[in-house]
Amino acid sequence: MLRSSLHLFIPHNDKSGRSHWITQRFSAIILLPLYAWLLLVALPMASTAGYEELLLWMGKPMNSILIVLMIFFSMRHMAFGLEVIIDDYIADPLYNRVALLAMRWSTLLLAVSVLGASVKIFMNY
Amino acid sequence: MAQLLLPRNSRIKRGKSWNTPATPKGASSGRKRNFKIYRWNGVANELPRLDRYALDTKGCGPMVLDALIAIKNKVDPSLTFRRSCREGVCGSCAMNIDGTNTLACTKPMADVRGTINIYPLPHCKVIKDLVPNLEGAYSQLASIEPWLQKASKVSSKGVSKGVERAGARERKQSPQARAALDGSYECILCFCCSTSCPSYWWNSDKYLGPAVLLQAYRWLVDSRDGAKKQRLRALTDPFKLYRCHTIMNCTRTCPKGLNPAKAIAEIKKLALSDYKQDSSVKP
Repeated sequence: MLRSSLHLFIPHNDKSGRSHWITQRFSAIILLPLYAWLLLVALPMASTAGYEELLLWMGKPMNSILIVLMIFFSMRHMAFGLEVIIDDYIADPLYNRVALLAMRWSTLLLAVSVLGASVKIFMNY
Repeated sequence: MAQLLLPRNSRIKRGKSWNTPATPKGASSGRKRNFKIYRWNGVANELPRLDRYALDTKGCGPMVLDALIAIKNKVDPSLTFRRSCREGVCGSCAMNIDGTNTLACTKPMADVRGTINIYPLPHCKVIKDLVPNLEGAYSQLASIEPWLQKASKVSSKGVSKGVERAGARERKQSPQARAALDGSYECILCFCCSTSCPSYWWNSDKYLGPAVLLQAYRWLVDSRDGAKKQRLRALTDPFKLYRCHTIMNCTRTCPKGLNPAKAIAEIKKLALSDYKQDSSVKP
């Protein structure tokens, strides 16, 4: 179980399919409170506050941590889901590999860019 | 890569119209039911067709299979379909009726309003008319070794120890342990569930499908079986087991009212409990 939870953070070659299945459920459970926070706290804040006020709010340590966690686990969960879809529909080994690589790098880039933006906001505000 | 265009002979053309022979003068006629039935004679270059039949149901039994037999006997002897027990036990007459995979022998005509559309089980190669090729499904069933196995201890020299002669000792089972098989032993292997599963449509070469996984579960929970670990390890594979995305078509369509989706979920739970032992096993 511990090894599976580590797979949340480190992509690995899962030959049994079991770790993938468990970690996808882990990430879904972790995302539940994070999305509750997004819907009940962050989005109402973003819709009412002005630009500067919002940046100040996002720069608070707890908010920065929650945003980074939410984006990280969203990207991991999305990557797990897309991997299943790619494996389902792209049977050709070469196309499958290319699609998986493209998907993994895009989700990683998205996660890194949001992390960078959050760090920048945290440092400046 | 996903095939974007359907094979040429997937297009179904309009077929012939057939009528029940006229009722003799003075004899009363029954209610007429209209059927549209998929026909393909196995010739690769020919397109399949949808033949229309108007059947006088007087003297015909109430089920769709009764109507098919009546059509074959009275109207069109070339119509081909599998059937045997005609009471929902053998699973031979599994086909797609009114958009749902079911057994023709237990599907009442009265349940279908208007024209009764009949096709072979979906996403299977067709041998002729309503007869699908189930070779792949049967070989997948054989791959899970659906028979009782005795646990054997292998010595350091690789010689099996303690394997009893077949039938040497009775393998007793308590009523409680026997009850664990309820809901899985009743499967008649008609493959209505597997052929209704989109995941099985896309990956039927690798994913075992609900029917075979239900059978796998039946042997996993049998208290008399000694090969639980080997069975479980053979199943834990990204494609064999984890292609089930809980779409639930299998449970919805099962003509015996079984729940293959629950059995698959139970196998996933068993695979979780086996995780710790599996981690300690060196390849």
